[in-house]
Amino acid sequence: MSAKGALSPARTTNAQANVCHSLPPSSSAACNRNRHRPPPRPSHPPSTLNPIFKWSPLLPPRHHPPNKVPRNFRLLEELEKGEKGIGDGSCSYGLEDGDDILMSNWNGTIIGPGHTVHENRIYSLKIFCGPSYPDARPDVQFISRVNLPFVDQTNGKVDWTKLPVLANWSRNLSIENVLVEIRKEMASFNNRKLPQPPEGSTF
Amino acid sequence: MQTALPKETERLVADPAPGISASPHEDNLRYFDVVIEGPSGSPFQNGKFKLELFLPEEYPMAPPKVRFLTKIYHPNIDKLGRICLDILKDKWSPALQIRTVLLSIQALLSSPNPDDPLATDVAKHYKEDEKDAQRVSREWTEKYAV
Repeated sequence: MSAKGALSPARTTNAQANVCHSLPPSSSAACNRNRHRPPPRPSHPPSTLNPIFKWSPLLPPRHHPPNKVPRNFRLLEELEKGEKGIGDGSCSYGLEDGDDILMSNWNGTIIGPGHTVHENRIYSLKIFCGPSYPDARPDVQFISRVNLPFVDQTNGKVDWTKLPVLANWSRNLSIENVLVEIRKEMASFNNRKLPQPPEGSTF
Repeated sequence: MQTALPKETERLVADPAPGISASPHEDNLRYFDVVIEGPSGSPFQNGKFKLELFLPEEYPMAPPKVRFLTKIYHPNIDKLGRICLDILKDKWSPALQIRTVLLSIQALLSSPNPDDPLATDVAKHYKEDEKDAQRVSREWTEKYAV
């Protein structure tokens, strides 16, 4: 790697600032960074207080600074994971527009599970991650026509109240989880034999 | 490690490097809004570039995560503002600090390295016709980095 570090001598530290050609594979591995780290607790209630006020490990920390991965860095992690490919390739996703610095609009693809009416079908979806994602659930909408109990048959929108992964949304969940869960629903006992619209039709 | 964070933040906010400012979000002290002024003599001169920086839980054992929010025409910065800089990756050392990282990014604006690109189209432009590529960088700076 060429030593392109251009720090002026006065500012140089022991690091040479070289550039390199690829993004780290490591960053996508960290999917559980939003665990809270308990803060130092300099101000425990003095022991002279009624013992009921004493901090106990059983109680949640009284001061709990957020240490959550911010939306954009979370979405960058998801993007890198999606670019590398997830699982067996039966679900995939990526940015709708590679220029979208806010990373709000995503495309998803689900390959219909085998031994069901969905076998060999390729379903396209749109996923919208709003400004409060991942604290807020994403909006999901089918582009490909599909008959499922949680999909609005007029516009393809997924009714989040009818899909557990969205109804019980938490910030630990991801676009990948949503697609994988939808695919599982396609293969469920109740849905695997539902009559389907013609292959390739769209909402 | 934990106690190092607020002190470092305090120093960073109180004594920022020339042309660099960083302020933590009120609701997340590990998440910073950063502004870097384009170095004089570079095509990014007079530009004010917004970035975001996040200290992961593993910091300082792991590097901060940084990206540009302002569009920039630079061979080592891609369309999503991701930066290709070795100290943000395998050359990270816990001895480095947020300040050092931001100074290195500022230095990267002065010395693009098209031989080791992240934005391949921009790098190609820089290699084939540096003057013209710098003209585009200046145009983007005037258009987006105000």
